[in-house]
Amino acid sequence: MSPGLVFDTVLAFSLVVLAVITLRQRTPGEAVVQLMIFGLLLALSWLRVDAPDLALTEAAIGSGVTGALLLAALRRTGFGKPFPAPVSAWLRYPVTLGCAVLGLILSLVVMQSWHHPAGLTELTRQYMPETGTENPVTAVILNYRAYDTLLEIGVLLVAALSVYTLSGPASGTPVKPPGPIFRFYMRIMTPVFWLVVPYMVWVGGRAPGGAFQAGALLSGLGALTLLGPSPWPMRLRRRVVRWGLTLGFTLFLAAAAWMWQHGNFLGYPPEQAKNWILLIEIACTLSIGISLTVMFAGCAGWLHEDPKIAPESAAQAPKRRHP
Amino acid sequence: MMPPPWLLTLPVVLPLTFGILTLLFPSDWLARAGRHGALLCAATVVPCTRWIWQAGSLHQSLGGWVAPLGIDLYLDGMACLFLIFGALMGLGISFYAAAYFPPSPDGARTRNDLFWPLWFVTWGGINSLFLTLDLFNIYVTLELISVAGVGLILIAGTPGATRAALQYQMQALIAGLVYLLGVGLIYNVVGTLDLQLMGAELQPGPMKNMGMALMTSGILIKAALFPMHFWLPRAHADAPAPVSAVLSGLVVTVAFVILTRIWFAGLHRLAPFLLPRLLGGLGATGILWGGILALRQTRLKRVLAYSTVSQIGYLFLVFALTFHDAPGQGLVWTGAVYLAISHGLAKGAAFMAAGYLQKAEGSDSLQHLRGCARKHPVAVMVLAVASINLMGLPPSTGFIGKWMMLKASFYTQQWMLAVVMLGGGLLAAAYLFRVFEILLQPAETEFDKTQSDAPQTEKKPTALGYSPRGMLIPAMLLALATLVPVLFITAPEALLRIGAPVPFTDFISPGGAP
Repeated sequence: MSPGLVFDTVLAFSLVVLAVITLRQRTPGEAVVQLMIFGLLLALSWLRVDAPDLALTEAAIGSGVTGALLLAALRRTGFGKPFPAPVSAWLRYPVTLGCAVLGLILSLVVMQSWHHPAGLTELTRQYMPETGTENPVTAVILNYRAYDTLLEIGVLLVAALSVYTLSGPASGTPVKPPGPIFRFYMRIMTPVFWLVVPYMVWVGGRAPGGAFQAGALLSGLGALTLLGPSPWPMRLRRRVVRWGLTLGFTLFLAAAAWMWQHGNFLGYPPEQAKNWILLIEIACTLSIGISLTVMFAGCAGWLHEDPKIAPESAAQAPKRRHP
Repeated sequence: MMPPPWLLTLPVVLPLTFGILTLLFPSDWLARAGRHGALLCAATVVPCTRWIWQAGSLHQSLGGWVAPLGIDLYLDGMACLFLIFGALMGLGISFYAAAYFPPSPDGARTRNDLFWPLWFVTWGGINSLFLTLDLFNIYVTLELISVAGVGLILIAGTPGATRAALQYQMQALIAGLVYLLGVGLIYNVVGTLDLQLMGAELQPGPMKNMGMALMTSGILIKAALFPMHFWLPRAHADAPAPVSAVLSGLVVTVAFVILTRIWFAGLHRLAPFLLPRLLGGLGATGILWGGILALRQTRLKRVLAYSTVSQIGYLFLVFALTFHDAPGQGLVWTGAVYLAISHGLAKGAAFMAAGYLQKAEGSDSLQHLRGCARKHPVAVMVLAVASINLMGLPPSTGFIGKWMMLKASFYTQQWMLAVVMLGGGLLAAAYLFRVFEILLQPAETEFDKTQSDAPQTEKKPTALGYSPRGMLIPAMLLALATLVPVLFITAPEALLRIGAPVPFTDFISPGGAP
């Protein structure tokens, strides 16, 4: 048995075990922590099947952002409180059985007749020079199938809006002033984020990276800032936030429609493709970061129905000085 | 003749643009922006229809990358007819919503303002789904519509709506994942995501059958076919009325359209023997189950929501009736398309009328609405016209659709389905007449009391925070639209035949509408 196979077996086994453990936790808090570990292991398994782009996204969004959103929501419902009502056995056992049967059939079918995907890898490589990027994943996301990505950016915008519709009257408990360790961490990490995010956007043209990963990182910075000593994003005007939210989608849509004059929706001329893609990626990074930060604030209960009522954290913010 | 490059993308781009604009506009512009935007978005259908009459079906590749590499949009008769349907619904819903949501008193933004961006994005997504041929693109767009749907339901702001939205989100998640798993399996074998490219080379195999079954189940959850309808009544009944019209009139129809696209692109040949029969059986059960539960509801919007569960069942009979290239496929398919469109229009109108009654009377509980026909004759009239269609009575398009499917069930000798279809019609009559019986009852004490109030409220519609006329006119027009195609039934049928995925080898003469 090669070391790779041993590693994969252990990885696959621990994924299943971790999934079961996650499901069996008694409190949401513990379940979320397990879920984040699960996300990291999943990212590792994407690496094992040579999909570094997916691994990055899984780590950033599947584990990081999702975990942060869930933890922020738990701030309000109670981190250590047990799940309100256990799912009834009538539902639990049939669903478990159904999933198991489906999984079994799926694995049988896949093992029996999986062949190395014919796929479009060859075609993708063939036309790469015309796409304005050297990373095949970016070529697919922002050129060949840019329409999908355009709509996905729309999904994020709509998701952020849906969070707004959930915002009720001001309620959430105010943030505790951050302790010294957190402040120290912030002071080190903030500049690191500001370096890594633009790098992530830029490197997407050649290597794994791009708007989604960079946006997720940016939202990490956003969440840290919201929790930190000076949550300045909370003091932004609603209108500014709305412009920020729509920036990526607007620019993408406008660029796509601008290409009508070249004969095709979203059809960048090859020699300009690189610039267009970079521009769209930058705008989308900002918007993704802002959408996810809005969702974080919404989960934590810091979005309020009436814009005139300033959130508590924002009201307190000016009093707390940066260390 | 070269098609203009914007022809197929404009019906998607324009609603999305208005989605952004209505998010950025100040609150007091929104009602007007919504109405004007709807007119513009609906107008994008005109060039598409012109093109298809003059030059036939049309492919457009996005980004200039032809199908296996890129995404193709495809305009055929079915897409065009559904685009027109979407435009009608869109107009009705937008004008209704502009009258439904009260203007904010001091110009401050409220939760209601979010209706407009979410609705326009949904409209754009729906138009995109009518046109797309790409399996993965369908997934992305379905997600877009679902997430927007969650936000739209939440606008109601009640605990019931929050719960409904959560359930809606759950079904959307599960449905999306199941569908995506199926797409993955199919892509692994076929190496393309384009429906027309893969349709040519599909031979049954375990992976493909599995993929097909998974994709179908994912869409069935979205379409709320019988056992997967658990999320529908709550979501459709607890949402604000314009949103109910969007969800029950448009979104459910879209799921059906996608499934027809996928099936008749050649994937129905993959379907294991059991699957079409299963779909027919589920559809039939759904017709009866939805109808019976609709009889037992105590709220008007709940009755309508369960009626949707029942009517969706009819649409899925098409898969059993066209099973293994049965003769007369074209006819059955036409019937199902008519039924989908007429149900969408009628259900949209019915929810609008119900929303009006709910606003005017403060509740949509049937007990509370007893005898309100005297106070709100127009709203009840809208309900009545819509009901003609839901019951499948003669002058309506719903009748023609059901008639075509009924004929097909006789010709293919699926007697059980015929019985269920007829029984479903009777059930629909039962649950709707029950509603009318309550609405038309004279409620003396209530009526005497309210009659003195009525003139006052009629005089000052602005004080109500909504405009009765603005709400009822779009509802009435939508309801009447279901009766219009009867006058020139050949036009939509001729349209449907352009680039039809189904052979029109009828067992009776073509154009065999009654």
